[in-house]
Amino acid sequence: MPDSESFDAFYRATRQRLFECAYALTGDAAEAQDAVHEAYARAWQRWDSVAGYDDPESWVRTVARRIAVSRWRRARNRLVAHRRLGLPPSVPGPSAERAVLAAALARLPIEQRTAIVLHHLCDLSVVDVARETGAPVGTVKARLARGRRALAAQLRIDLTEESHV
Amino acid sequence: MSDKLDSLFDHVRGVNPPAAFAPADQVRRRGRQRSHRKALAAGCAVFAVTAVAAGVGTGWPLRSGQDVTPADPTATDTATGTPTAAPAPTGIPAALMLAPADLGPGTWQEFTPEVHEHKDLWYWAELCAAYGSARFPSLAHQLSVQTVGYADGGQVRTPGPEVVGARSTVIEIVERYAAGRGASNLDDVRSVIALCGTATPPPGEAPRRYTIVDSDFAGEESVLVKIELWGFQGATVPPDPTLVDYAAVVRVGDLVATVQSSTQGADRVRTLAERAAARLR
Repeated sequence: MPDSESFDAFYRATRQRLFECAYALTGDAAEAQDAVHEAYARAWQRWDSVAGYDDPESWVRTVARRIAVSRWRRARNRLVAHRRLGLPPSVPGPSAERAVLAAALARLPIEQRTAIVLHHLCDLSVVDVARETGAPVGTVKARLARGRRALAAQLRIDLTEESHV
Repeated sequence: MSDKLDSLFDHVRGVNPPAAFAPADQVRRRGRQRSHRKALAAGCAVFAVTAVAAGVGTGWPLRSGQDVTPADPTATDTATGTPTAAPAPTGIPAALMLAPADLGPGTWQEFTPEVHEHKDLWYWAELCAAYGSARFPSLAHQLSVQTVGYADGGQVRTPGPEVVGARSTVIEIVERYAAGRGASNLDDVRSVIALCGTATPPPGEAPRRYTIVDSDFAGEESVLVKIELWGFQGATVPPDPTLVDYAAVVRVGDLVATVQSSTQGADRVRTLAERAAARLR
């Protein structure tokens, strides 16, 4: 029987961080929260193993990210179909800054968006982003550079002086 | 990382979810229900296997992503005594996928690559900014997709896509199209590369270039695609690409395999495509 106390403590300590990452990736708070709940449910299924990992949060974050992105892609396809039919899409109502950032992120290719969110919001190092996404470090650096450049253009801010990628 | 982007992300930090988080015991219950459903599904599959063995099944796919031997084309309808046509296969059996033996020397472990399960998430889709499956007619006739990834060395965790410290990785995507439609998918691959392979990038994005550099080296037809990605150095784009990669697409009948390798360049991908084609035959 897995240790429910350690799982519960882990869930309470990490769920908000994971929600923020999933929300930034998808721009949809409800989908993000459900993806996070689902990821923790899957973690509990194999908690004996996951609890023994060096970084269980990384495991859950990866699962949540994949669930959230998969659903987001399907939702995006539904949205495109809606637009073809001329129906207005539903619009979420986050704060202005959050809405602007979410819109800019949504226009990035998913690989760049994932790298940007993991690095700048989830505070993972480039090496950790590479490990978590299964991509070479050089690829992650390229995705970060391109993603930052695209965000800067969309948000009309100057990021050229920052060169930690 | 105290820069402007981090400041912008401060607006996301601490954002409240739309509802309170579920209590931990509810999450654990959800996990137990998932386990229960999986057990039920496995039980159903075992039942189906038993039923087929007893001669009462149809010989059709039993489990998601796994096909079984297609029904005997000479099977007879027991009610009418007339021969019945075998349905065309729709799944992709594991035997059609690359296996470690195909990959050459190495300690190959399977891992889960980013999946492309939905036809609107076609491997080449993100090449075209205005991508729409309607522009690529074969996609409406895609029946199934299966993916597999292998890592040489390193540490693989499941579920993927975590691979730590691998010397090399190989990824394969196999798609099955409706009868007679496989060839049109290769046409669509050529089309997407011609349309968008060298398109001017949107503002703020570094260039990328996709070029077909070889054709018909494996299977009934095939293409080898060179993928060049540039990254910014400060505010400028260097003359040489930051990354050069290759992907091969090979068709046998209505099965189309796409293979990529993280190392050894074009020759390695070409060889993998030949082995993938041998599996598809």
